[in-house]
Amino acid sequence: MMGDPKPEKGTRPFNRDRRRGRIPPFRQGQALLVSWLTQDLLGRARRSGKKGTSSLTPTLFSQGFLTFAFAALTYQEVETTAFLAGNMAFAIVLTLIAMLGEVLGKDRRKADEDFVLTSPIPTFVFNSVKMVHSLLLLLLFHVGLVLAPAILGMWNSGVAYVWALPLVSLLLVGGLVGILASLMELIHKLRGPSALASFTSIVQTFLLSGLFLGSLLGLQAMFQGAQSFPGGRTLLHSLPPYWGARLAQWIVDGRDPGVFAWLLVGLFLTPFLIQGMTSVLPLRPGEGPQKRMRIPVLARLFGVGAADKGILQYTLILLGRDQAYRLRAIPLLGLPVAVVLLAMHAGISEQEIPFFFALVHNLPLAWLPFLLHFVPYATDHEGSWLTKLGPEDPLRTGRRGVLLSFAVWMLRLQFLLFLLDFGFRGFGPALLTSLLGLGLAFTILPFLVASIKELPFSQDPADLKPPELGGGPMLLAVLIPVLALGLEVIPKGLGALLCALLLVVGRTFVARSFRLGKKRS
Amino acid sequence: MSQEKEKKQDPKSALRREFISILLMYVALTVLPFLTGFACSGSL
Repeated sequence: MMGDPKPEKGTRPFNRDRRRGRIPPFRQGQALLVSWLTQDLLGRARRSGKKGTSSLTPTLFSQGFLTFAFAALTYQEVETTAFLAGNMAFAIVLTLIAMLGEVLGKDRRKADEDFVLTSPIPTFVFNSVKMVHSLLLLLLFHVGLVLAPAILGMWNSGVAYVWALPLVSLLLVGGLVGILASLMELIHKLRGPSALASFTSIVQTFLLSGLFLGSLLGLQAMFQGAQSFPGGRTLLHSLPPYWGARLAQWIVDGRDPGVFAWLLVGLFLTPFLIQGMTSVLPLRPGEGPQKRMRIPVLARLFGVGAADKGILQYTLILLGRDQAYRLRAIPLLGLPVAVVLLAMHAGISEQEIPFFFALVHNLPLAWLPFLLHFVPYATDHEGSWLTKLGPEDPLRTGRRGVLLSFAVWMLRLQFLLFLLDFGFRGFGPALLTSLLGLGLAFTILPFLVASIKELPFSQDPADLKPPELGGGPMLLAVLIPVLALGLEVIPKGLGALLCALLLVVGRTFVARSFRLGKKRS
Repeated sequence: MSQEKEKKQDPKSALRREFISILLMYVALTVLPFLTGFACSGSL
């Protein structure tokens, strides 16, 4: 450039190459790798202004400790294949969650588009460094997680498993991350970035809930045998960790892996197949298909006005699409689901069934305060400008949107639970318990929503304050199931009367709380 | 000039420190199961 001073000799790196007008590909790759690793390991701390605090080390320790605890619980009394498969599955799911959030996340995509893809770096170097970087992070994280199971496996199955377990586990997680990354690339090309974001959060949710449920049910299956797992031996044998366990046993003990070796080969080939398909597809403009927005018909039950419809649509979209909210809220729902699955699996007597369903119908309400606690936190927390600029009080508008959204969700959820209940107990009892649950939810909901102190979707999820232990939400989580069980004891006629009363009061509460504007359409 | 040079930080030093702390974490995650295994098998 014209006005630039000539750089002093020896004061800047790559001077010789600069004079030749190029930087060697190796140095380009090295610089890219260092910057990516700095961003991965220290990026979060630096963005928040702290110096030298890493994000990987504490995560590695806490999750490594979890895998250690899981292995310590199982290494003495569990059969080798079950020990290998269970521990590998636990470590692999933890690694997949971390890789999905940190490495394959959309923040990296943005940074790459802005800085890396605009630089004159050769495609070959970029792709090689990308691969090395992903493998290095995978190695760093996953080795930390499988160390404890591998060492404890020495007492379970023999010294050779100290290296066989990490090796097979790394191969397996590499293949699975490859499949995930190539699928993400494919969806990005086919359906655009919004579909990719939805896919990522669905997979994350599935992994988080699966981790919770899987570790509970998996522990039981490890001690009592595969038949105690829902889906039994067939399901467990169709999962990659079992194939990995058989591969490890083949390497160490020479046990014939049979068809599982071929399934593993298929697993490693799948990413290449998907990549091949992706490479021939043209990149579509990043808009995604247009969707027609509809106001849920059920919302009409609360006599919503035009302003209500707008805020309801906005809240439903943000609640459904926000990655931070999905990540925090949906795993919470995993707990009631786990309760249901575990109870059904444990086998309940006929006299207990009404109480069991009373509990199932009211668990969503018991967890509602925790779900509402996360409402102010959103990845796109700048999105709250919409409510801030509106003609009404922003907090009131936000609360109205949340109230209507959760009322609609409750209606839908109780309908699904009714269908489930109907299959077990028949029409009458299922309808009564569903309507009682709904009436109770509508009556309590406005009071719960009033406890939201911050504007919905206005806070950075990094600043999340956890709910107080022993506070209101905890108390309600204990009281609601007790109340639900109590309602199941009262006679049917009185129950129906109470149900009608709760529904009328609840509907009025929802329709009249935090009302926007005076004109009604 | 010399003071300025002293202030300059190696851009990779933070990363190097990070890798050392990860290594230490590995050591901790290795020692813990060893101790557990030996203690539970009665060899310790």
